[in-house]
Amino acid sequence: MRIFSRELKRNLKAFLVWTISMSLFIAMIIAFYPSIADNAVDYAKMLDQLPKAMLSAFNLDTLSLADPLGFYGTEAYVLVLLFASVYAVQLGAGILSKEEDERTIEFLLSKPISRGQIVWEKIWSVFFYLTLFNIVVSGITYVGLEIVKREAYNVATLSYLFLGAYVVQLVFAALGLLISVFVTKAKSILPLSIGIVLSSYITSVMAKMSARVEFFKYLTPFSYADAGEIINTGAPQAGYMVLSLALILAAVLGTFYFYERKDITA
Amino acid sequence: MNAIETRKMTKSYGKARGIIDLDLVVSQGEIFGFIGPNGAGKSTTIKTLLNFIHPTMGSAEILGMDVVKDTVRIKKEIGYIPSEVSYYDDMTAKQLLDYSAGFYGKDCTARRKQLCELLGVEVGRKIEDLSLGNRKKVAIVQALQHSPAVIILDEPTSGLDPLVQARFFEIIREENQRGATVFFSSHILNEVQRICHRVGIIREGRLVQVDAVETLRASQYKKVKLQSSLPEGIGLINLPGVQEQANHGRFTEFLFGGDIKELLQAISSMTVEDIWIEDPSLEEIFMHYYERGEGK
Repeated sequence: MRIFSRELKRNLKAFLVWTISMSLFIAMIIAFYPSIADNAVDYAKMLDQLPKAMLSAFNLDTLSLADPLGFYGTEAYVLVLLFASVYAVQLGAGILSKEEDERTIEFLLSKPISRGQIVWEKIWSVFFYLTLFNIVVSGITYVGLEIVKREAYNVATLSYLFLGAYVVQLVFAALGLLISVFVTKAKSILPLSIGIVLSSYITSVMAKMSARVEFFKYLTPFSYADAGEIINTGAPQAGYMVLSLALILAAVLGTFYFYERKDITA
Repeated sequence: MNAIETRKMTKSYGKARGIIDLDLVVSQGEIFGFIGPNGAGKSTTIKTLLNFIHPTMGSAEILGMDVVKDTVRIKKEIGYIPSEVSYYDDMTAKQLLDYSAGFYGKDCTARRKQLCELLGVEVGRKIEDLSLGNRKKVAIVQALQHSPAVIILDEPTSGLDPLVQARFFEIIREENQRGATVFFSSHILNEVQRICHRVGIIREGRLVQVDAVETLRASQYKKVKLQSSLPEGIGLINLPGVQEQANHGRFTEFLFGGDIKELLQAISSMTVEDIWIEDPSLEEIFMHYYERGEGK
């Protein structure tokens, strides 16, 4: 518990900055909904001019801007997921490596605590903040949509969108954690985090734009929570959820395994 | 049971030298000096003992416990002062000491207060605002407040001013009298001689020699340099213990391994204007041991 509570304190500032700015960002986008819903017909005409592949990449081929879920799914969800994933991967990647980058790990390892215990408590602190972040951001989104909605929408579907985003962030956090066993320099972590998230995103867009590389969708967590799929089918695909959990489990177990055996020479 | 025992402990990092077949025994209750030039393998040895890094071959025990398998139990009994102190910048000294003490599950407040007073640690200050020397003091308190059975010191005096150094040695002696074993790694021969009972010399990853500190002292040479008041210099000195004498004009240099009193008497009758007597550098002493080792 000692390291867990220490990490809560240490990561509080970043948590507040991310949570508050994400909430403001979402509130801002949702505030645009009434004017877009009012002019939905004009927007639909305008969108018709765009290439089919592009519309499909942004789910604009199957979702309607006039519908609260369609609006949220196309205008906000992907961006929120992108930012949230950067937060998640950074949080995961920094939690262990920070001790090595700042050379405090020698202090920690000279105390009577096992490496496994250190990893365990740090993982819980990541899980804690990521969960809290999702509760707050999802809550703000729900309240915002309730305020501006023009027509009823399926709240269960919205919560599946939230769940999908949460699971994707957990995947990124777990990947960040595993990578940070090997890459410990803080100045490499940030570009690496952003690189991983962006390339995953681009891969997911490619998978949707071209049937030839459709199989790419299995390679990127972003496809696991696709707004179009979730809204149109009403639930995230069980296969993706299982795949996500397997990835998370593998990355976490790998982190324990490699961290235990690693030479720490900071 | 020994405080520290390594058996053929080897650590190699690719091609770089680590430590090779290190057989080291430190008995309980002694102050053991571990000395060698920078890069000889002192820190590698300590990091292996503390399981920051894993031995490539061989094994080691502290208080009879395996350094890899039982590392958590071992650390309950250890106090470690690193050569470079890096702590959490956002903490005050007090917060760090609390954080550290919390891991041992015992009340350290009385001993901490004593140590902080002795060393003059300002516990309320943020660690990032502390000077190198003051951080080192925090490190000393952090390592000793839980009264460990084995104290491991890696170049502990770097950054400390002479007054604090003296006090630090006093504290280490007290800890030793209380029963603690001290493993003292340094590249400064002088400070090791000051407080250690036995000394192990490590060079290029191998343990070259383990001696009682008196033996080391007895076999130790002084570097002497004289400046003559006469331009032609002093000439050849005929005294037992003078070696490798070299004259350059007014200056005469030699190594002296004999009786210091005889040397002083001899010098007093010379035309000496100035005098330097120094400990030879560690490297020179190692060469001495190294040659002796080769000769055997």
